[in-house]
Formats: sequence, structure tokens, C-alpha cells
Amino acid sequence: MSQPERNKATESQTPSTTRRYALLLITMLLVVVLLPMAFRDRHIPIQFDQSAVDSFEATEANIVFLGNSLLDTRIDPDYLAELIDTNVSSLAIDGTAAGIWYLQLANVIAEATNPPEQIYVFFHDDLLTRHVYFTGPKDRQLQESLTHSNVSGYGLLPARSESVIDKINSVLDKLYPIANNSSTSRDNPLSSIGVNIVGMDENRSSEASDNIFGFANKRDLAPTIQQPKYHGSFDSMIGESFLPFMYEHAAAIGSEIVFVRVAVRPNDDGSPNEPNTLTNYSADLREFLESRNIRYIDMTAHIDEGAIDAGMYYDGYHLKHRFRDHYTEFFAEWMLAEIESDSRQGATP
Amino acid sequence: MTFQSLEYALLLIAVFSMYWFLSRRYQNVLLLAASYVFYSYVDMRMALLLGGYTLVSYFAARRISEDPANSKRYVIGAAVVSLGTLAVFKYAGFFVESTSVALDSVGLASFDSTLKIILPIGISFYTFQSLGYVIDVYKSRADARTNLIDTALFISFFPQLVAGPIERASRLFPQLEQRRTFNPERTMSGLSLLSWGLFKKLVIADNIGLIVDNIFSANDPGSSMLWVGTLAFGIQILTDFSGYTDIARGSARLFGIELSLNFRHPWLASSPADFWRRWHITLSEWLRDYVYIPLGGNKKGNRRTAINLVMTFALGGLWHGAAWNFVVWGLLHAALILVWRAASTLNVRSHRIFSTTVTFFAISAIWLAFREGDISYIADNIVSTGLENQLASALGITALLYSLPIWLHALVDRRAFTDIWTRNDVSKTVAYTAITFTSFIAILILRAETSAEFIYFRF
Repeated sequence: MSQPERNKATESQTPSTTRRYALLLITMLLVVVLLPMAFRDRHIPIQFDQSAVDSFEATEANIVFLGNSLLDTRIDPDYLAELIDTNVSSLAIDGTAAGIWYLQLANVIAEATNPPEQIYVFFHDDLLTRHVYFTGPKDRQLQESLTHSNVSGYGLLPARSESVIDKINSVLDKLYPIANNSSTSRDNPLSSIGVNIVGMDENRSSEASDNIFGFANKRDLAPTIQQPKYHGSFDSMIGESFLPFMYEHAAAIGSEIVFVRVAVRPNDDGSPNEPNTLTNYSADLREFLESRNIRYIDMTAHIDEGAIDAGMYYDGYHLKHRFRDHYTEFFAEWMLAEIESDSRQGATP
Repeated sequence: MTFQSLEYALLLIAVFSMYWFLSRRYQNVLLLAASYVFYSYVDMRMALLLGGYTLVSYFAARRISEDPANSKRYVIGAAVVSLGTLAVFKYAGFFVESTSVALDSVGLASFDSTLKIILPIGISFYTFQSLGYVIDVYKSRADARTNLIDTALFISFFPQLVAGPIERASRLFPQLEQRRTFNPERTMSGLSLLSWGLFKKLVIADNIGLIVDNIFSANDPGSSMLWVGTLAFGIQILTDFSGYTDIARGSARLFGIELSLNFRHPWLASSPADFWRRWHITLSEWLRDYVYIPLGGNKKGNRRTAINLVMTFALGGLWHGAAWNFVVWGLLHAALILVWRAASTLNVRSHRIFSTTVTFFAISAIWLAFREGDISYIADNIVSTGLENQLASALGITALLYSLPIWLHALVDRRAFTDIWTRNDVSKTVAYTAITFTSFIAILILRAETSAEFIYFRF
């Protein structure tokens, strides 16, 4: 800190003083490194959230969407339901990845008395096959609320880290369990203390926060344009991903699962912003899924058709809120065309 | 490589574990190698630029020393090359765009003003540091160094490379030119300073940054929210930058090197001029010594002093970023100092708490020009009535709660307290351990989910 600006006298320490300080330094390191290991977070595992199943069941959805904020900024389920004249539900949760989507599929959708006919999974880049330890946010409460005691994908596969840094991080997470306390508010600008002090209730503060900070009120200036992310070849990732669990579980409940890879923001000249590594990944994913009669749509191709352009993007991945309906219409057209095509070929939608 | 990354921790541990077994020469070689690894971690080309600055400074300083008759020519040459490089990388796009807009506004031809030039991280800092060395040699305030490794390390020493403190030759070279011996007490103090800096960044700055980013990314935040965002930004930038400096100074201390103090509780400044004696001290001193005083300082009458002040602050603003809002920010600071000076001639006595409070809010308000470059956005929102005043209050209180540790720090940093904890080796160890341990635990529990880049990295 101003710290403790050092005492000039310590510049010339005698050997005995140095030895004494060395012992004190070791003591300090032991305290700082070892003591925090003893702290455990007082986290009480939360129970499976049955209300998620009940809410989903109430929608009587024939078509369900899984994904994160990419999905949320693209598909309006109510509007889509009007356009294609069937019940539609979206289970989008911001920041999530395949691990959470699998839990939603296995423990919410599959629990419904009448499973939906189709499940659409929206993802970007290679998010669908990220390794099993990657679930998006480190939100343990979310995982627990979606985890049924006897149906869980976690623990089925060994969580192997990608890099040395990841491995070290995993070790540190284990050494310092207090760091893993579930903090759903870590990305939320609102502190519950501040809200309580001014006397706002939780619903009111959420509503106010949505009004000011919601997507609809974002400035057009994107702070950064994210670039496509690539984490390894398809072959290196599929074995440790949730993908096989997802399509197997969908088949078990009799729902068709469709994987939709959304396009990231194209270049300003309209060309797809996609490195060769991701193009190859997508081709491998297509081959893998189609060999199993699973439908796969790579929306990157639709950039060429002029349906979505760079100006519609808020940042590298998300669409501006005002283009949500446009995308929903665009997707509805595609769905209706597919249904018509299937019915001409006599295929079951 | 950023200070809050695991890669940096590994680099620090690796270098530290070898460093103390080496002779002075190899200590410097190791630090130099680590500095280039640190700097070129993302882009190898950056190292070439850094190497170029080193060679220019090294040879210019030597020529000045060896050929005094032509020393002026060499110092001007070094300044042109250093500042020219800075201008190309940092300001070319700005000037081209400004020219295009100006031509367009008077009906003359405009042109494509988009230049795609990467801004090398920290270029403003090491440009000033290396140029300061050459000027000091020219002014006989420092000797020209003949050892290229020492010179290269002076310019590239990784803890202070990308965001300062901007060191002077007379302070850093002597430390690099003597063998450092292991001093456990200094290591303890370095660790505690480093962890305190990390706490300021990961817990205070990043959490308050969430509030600030949300407010300034809203299309229509309204007046009250905008002011809360500005106040919060003042706290964020202080903890972000001073946190960086603490990590830099703590890291350097692990290698037996003492970097300059860059912050001295600036939020306790009792006047705008006092603020600049407490905020980013090494930049203020650089601008004072190499710009303000050569312009004449305050020796040529009130009018000339005011002009010098305005020019120095405009340059200081532009140093921060290639955009007009930074110039405006600098000019507002100059105006504030001039108004304060004029007011002080009225001999109105005020309590220190009053002047500190006024200074705090005046400086905080000026941060708005620094944070937001879109004047029309400020104009639109500054007069609009906020719809969510209660939410704005909640966010303001949240930001103030996060800032409590820095106020507490100012309190315990008083002489009466430091005398207690520096009394003997045990009391010092207890203090260092308490700071490090508390910071570490707080980081584990309270850190923001995502850590943003240090604000001053972009300068």
C-alpha cells in the first residue's frame, strides 16, 4: 500500500536480521497460501427447480428453442408461434453453453408429459462441442436448479482441461473452494445492498434495471466487436462434449433435434467473418450429424443471401433488438419452407 | 499479458525463482528477457518497436555524450523519431479523420479517413520514458549509459512497461546498475503491495466498471444516471490505474527495484493543483519538467503562465488518447486550476474538508469528458430527466460501498498508524500478512466475474 513505504533502514540488514525476516516471510506465505484453503463456502445445494418443468409444460410447446443470448436476440417465441401457427417456447438463458442446454433437455423438456416435436439448439462458432467442463457461466446455482437427482450429465465424462492454464485453474479451484461460491450477481451491476438501502424491492429493481440497461435501450455503438472463437478441431472435441448426450436424449423422448449454427457478424463487405478452421469444423459437424440423420443448419451461408447484414448486429454475435422480429420472420419462412419440403417428400417433420 | 492473468503469475514466479541466484549482469539479462516475453506475448511485432525505441535512445544518448558540440542535433533527432513514431501509431488516424471532417465541413473534398493502424500497448509510456532519458543526458541530469542491456531494461522493465510509472534515468538506472541482494522484508512488502493492487483492480474497479459500462452503454440513461456513472467512473479509473501501479511497484519490489510513487490519495486533494500532485505523479512531473518549465512555467507573468498551463494540459489530455474529448478533459483541468487560483486571490478562508469536497466533485464531474467522447450523447442525457432516480441512487450507493476500502486506506495510511505497524519486524510481518491475506480472500470471494483490461493499457 502507500504502502507501507519501505523503511530505509532495512536496505542494509544484518545476516541475523535477514534470517529472522526470512522466517517471517515463510510464515507469511504459509498463512496467505494455506489458510484460505480451509475456507469453504457455506453453499447449501439447491433443489431441482420443478417450477421450470411446470412452466414449460404449461406452454404445451410443439417447438422448443435452446440457447443463450444469441437466441434471445434472434427469436421471439410468441411472434414465431403466430407466424407458423403452433405453440413455441424458448428456454434461452444468457451466457449458457451446451452443458446447461443438455440439463434443460434432459431434466425439463424430457420431464414434460408431451415432449415437443422439435427442439432447436442455437449456438455460435464451436460452442456446441466445447468440453464438458465448460457450461458457460460458473453459476453453480443454475446448474443445481436444473439438475435432477437421478438424471445428470455431469460426472459422466472426465473433465479434461484444454491447456496448462486451464489445468492450473482447475487445481486452484479445488484448492480454494471458497472462490467457487455461486455468485449470480457477479455480472449484475446491481448490488442487493445498494438496492436495499434505497428501499427498492427486488422486482422493482429488476424492472428498473431492464428499462435502463435492457437490450432495447443499448446504444448502437458496440464497445467491441468480438471475433469468432475456435477451440480445436471437431474430432478433438466431440468425444468430450455434450452433443452425443443431447441427440440421444432427444431421440429417447421422440423429439427431433435440430442444431442451428448462427452466423457471427459478417465483414462490412458482407462476406462471412469465419476463419478456415471454423469452416472446416462446421463441415465436419455437418457430416457427423447428417450421417446420423440429424438436421444441421449453418446460418453463416445465409449471410450471402442478404437476409442479415453487419448493420443489424449489436456486436460480434448479438443482433440489435429492433431486428429481432426481422430474424424471427426470416427463420419462420425457413421453417415453413422446410415443413413444406418435408411434406412433399413424405418425411415426418 | 495482463497483470491479472495466471500467465503473469507464472512469469513472476519463474523469474523470481531464478533471479536471486544470478549475478547483477545476468539478473538484468533475465529481467530483460522476461520483459520481452511479457510484451510480445500477444504480438511479436511489438517487441521490434520496443527494440527500435531502445536503439534510438541508446545511440542518441551516447552521441550527445561523445559529441557535445552537436548534442542539440541528436536530442532533436531522437525527439523527432520517438514522437514521430508515437504520432504515426497513435495519432495518425485521429489527425486524418479530423482533417477529413474539417474539409468536409467547409465543402471541400473529404476522403476515406479510416486508417487501420494497431496501437501498440504502452507506447505513450515508454516513448516518454525513453525520451526523458535522452533529454536528461542532454541537460546533464543523467549520464549516457554504455551498457545496452541496462538501457534496454530501463526502457522495457516489464512491471512498468505498459502503464508506468514513468521512470527517470536518475532514479531507475542506479538501481539497475547495482547488484540486488535478496531482502525478505522487501519481498513481504512487495507481495502485500501487489495483492492490494490486485484487490483494487479485481474487486473495486471491475465491479464498479460493471455499473459504469452499463450506464454508458444505455441509449437513454438520463441525467441522474449519467452523473452516477461519472462519479462511479472516477472511482473506477482511480482504483484501476492505482491498482495497476501497485501491482507494478509490488512486482518490481520482488526483484529489489523500487519504482516511483504514482498516487498519493488523490481523492483527498484540497485543490485542483493539489490533485495533480497526487494523481499520476510521474506523468505530472514529466509534463512539468519537459513541457511546462521549458515553456517558461510561471516565471513570465500571469498571462503567460495561464497560456503555458493550458498548453501543458491540452498536451497531457492528448497524451491520454487520440480524441478530442481527451483534449477537452485536459483543458477543463487547466480551466479549473485557473479558476481556483483566481478564487484563491480573494482570500476567502475555507475549511480543508470543504475545499477537499469541492475538489472531489469538480474533478469527478470532469471525468465525464474523459469517459464519453460523444458530445451529443452527453448533451442529450445531461438535461433529460432520469426515469429511474431510485435505481440511480442504488447504483451510486453500490459504487460508494465498493470504494470504502480506499477511504479506509487513506485513513490508516496516516503517520500515527504507520508508526505502530513499522515498530518492529513482527508488527511489520503482521501488517504485510494481514494486507495480503485479506486482499487474497476478498479477491476469491468478491471479484467480478470478468475482469476488464486496465483502462490505461489503451494509452
